[in-house]
Amino acid sequence: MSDQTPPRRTAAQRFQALYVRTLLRLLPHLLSLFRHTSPRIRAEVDYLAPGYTFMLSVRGTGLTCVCARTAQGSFKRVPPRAVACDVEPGSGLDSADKGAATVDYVIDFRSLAYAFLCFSGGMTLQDALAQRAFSTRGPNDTGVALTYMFTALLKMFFGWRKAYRPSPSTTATS
Amino acid sequence: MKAFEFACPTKIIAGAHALDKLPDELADRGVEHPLVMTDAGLVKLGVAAKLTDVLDAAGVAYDLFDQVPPDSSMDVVNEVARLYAERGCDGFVAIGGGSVIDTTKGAAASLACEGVDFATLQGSEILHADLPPFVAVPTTAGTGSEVTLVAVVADTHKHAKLSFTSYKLVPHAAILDPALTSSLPPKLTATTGMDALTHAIEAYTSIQKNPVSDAFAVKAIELIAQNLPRACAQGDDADARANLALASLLAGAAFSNAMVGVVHALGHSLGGLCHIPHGQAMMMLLPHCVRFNLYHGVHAGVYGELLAHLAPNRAAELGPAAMPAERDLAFCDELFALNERYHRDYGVPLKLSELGVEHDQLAAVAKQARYDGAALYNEVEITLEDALEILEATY
Repeated sequence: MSDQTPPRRTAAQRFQALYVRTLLRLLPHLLSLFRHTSPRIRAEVDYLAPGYTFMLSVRGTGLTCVCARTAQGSFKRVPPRAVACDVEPGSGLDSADKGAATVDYVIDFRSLAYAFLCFSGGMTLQDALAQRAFSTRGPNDTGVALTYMFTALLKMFFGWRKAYRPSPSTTATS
Repeated sequence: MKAFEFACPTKIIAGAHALDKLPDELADRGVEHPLVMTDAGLVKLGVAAKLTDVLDAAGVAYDLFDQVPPDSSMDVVNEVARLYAERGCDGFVAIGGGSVIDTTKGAAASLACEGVDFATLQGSEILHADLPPFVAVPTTAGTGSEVTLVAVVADTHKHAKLSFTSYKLVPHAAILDPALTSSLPPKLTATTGMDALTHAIEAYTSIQKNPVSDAFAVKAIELIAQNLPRACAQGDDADARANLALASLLAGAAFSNAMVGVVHALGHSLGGLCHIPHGQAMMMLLPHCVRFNLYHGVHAGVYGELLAHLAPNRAAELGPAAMPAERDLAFCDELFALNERYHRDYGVPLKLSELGVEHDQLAAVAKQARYDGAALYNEVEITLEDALEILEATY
């Protein structure tokens, strides 16, 4: 049996991991806060049923964030130990543990670099989707609502960045 | 260049008498007892018999499931997976249109995941296990499902079309034999052909477009433009049928890697809520969506790039000095003209109202379309107002 040593991370990668970890921690609070100021975020929150739970994860890093929508329309972080481990997240299957939280939808970034680019405004979520930067699991309709919601949130922060400025050939109607 | 992925691992067996090679394809994959999937209509027309005769002649034992409905559902998918396991089958042969092939994808995926309910596999790139050997034999030239990573199956309880995407869902081999499409009536030839055209155009304008998918899409458009009128006018024109089948496959490979957009989002919704056949929905919606996009400045100049492939004479009339906006509008006009032609010659309906859709259903269709998986690949977010505007124009 051979021991596998974890890959060495550069200082930049350690910074990226710290940044993404911080953003994931803040995510439920940001969504809860900005649903009050952004009608677009509020519309998508309204589309999701109370109790709806999503997970964001970054492959190869152990970084994960699970959030559940409350009946009041805010989001709360679900601690990892409270997540059902007998069913795959996003499968829609019920857990035998009635007290555990089951995850309805998963967005799994395929690398730290992709997650950092998205969370820092270097790449829009749409570009990340176009480049297959993440995989998903769960019902399509709520996945679309989450994508609209995150896009609106990220645009609030990073609308000034080049990735979010409309290209000359395309005029968004929405 | 933007990062992209492209995969088309399907072995393509095309041309006259291609179906005769099926026993060899099965033997090469170690399949001794396939489950043949088809629908009752193809059995009645004798199309399915063309395939089973080949298996009988080669002494291949098989089981037959011939009850795939036009709008297949999760219940059918799970029933097929159960039957496959019960009968000890070791591979699939799907002969039919999109519904038959997509149902087979669902059952094969469920079996690859040790019999889990296919409904639990929604999303993208979830499936990691390989499917059982799977040969697809399309009998329409439209869906391209024989080479795509997508399976669309209805959730009859929620009145919605669910889409599943994974590179693992792509069939291992596709057999394109013009003999299988020669009896397709002109109306169905037209709607399925326009479905293929929609795949190619939406793949070319999707956010996931890439240089390889573009090449496939452009060639598909050329082949459809040259062969769809011929195949409609003379069904037994084997050359036109073969080229149309190839066009459908190329368009399928294009959108399998680039995805689709607003036309499909609305079409899936119309299929789920109003039971409009997919090809019919695509045909009706396509020109209206293109016109809507151009009016709002979306894909400006991009549609015009396709004009020379769809309508070379019109492009020549405009000449090389034409402005991109002129080409865009000419492209849109050509799509409307194609629809008018198939409406006039073969009675293809062009209005939702002709198909029994009630006006008060449009709001629900628009809402479901906004949240359809295809909506994510549209260049701009599909608002309820946008979706309603297009539906009203098509009504």
